[in-house]
Amino acid sequence: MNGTVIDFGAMYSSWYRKMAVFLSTFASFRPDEVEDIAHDVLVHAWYRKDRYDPAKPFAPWLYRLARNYAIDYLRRRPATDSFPGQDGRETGATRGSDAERTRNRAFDEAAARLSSRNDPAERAAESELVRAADRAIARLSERDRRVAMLVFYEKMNASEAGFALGLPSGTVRWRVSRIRDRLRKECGIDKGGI
Amino acid sequence: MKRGGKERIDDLAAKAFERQVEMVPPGKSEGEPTYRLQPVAARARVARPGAAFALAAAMFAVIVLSPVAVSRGKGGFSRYAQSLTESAEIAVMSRNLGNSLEYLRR
Repeated sequence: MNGTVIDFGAMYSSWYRKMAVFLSTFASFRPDEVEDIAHDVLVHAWYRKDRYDPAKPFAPWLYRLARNYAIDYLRRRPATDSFPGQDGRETGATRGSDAERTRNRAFDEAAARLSSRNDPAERAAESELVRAADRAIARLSERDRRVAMLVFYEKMNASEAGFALGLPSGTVRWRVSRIRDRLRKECGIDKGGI
Repeated sequence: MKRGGKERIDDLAAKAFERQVEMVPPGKSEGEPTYRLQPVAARARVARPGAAFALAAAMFAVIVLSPVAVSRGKGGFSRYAQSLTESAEIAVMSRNLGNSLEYLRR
């Protein structure tokens, strides 16, 4: 963010998608609900921008606020409003064969946009590994998925991720080690690399 | 653990999340002229002060006023019944007052 000034439009365009993915790690949210909650989290953050200390990194503060907001929202929501059949391990997008196919197609399109590799064979091999990692991440527990996102994607250290998730940094390190072992096993990567 | 494997795993996981983020459709700020600036938490809090006031007034009426009426001499039961009716009326009035205050506050 830009010093002490938080511009809502800039914050929204930078963080909306990340918030949606982060909130989708809460299995109790319905798939259609996640985007609304992501929007609400950013509005909520903007209202509370005075509480942000610009001397500290912005991302852990925002993720912490998002986590607290999500927990508070789920606590207030009537119990009957939960999503039926949610098993806590798969997101709405991965449920059912049609939804799975649609998601796989979107995943491949995103991969093509993001890939820096020119060789189609290399790109396909890379894509398959990333897909395996994605499947492995989807099978992690809710809390492990949040840890994985903050540490691997946001590149937070254990202390920052712990602040964001309300966990001691030692617990974050332990969870990260366990997640790596699990991903390594499910992606077929040995400890020395591929 | 050798660093090569660890970095490879971290990179794959980061890419998986990167793709998940890429798959999310753009937010409401892109293409929509206005923001819905009232968050869910604020919407949920709107009715609370009025409701709390009404509840407190109703409890005061039932707990304090009714025993006072009952404790006075002959015909206590009918007075008690009457006091309950009055308490209910007071509770309704309190609720209406609470709603009006809430309306004015908004």
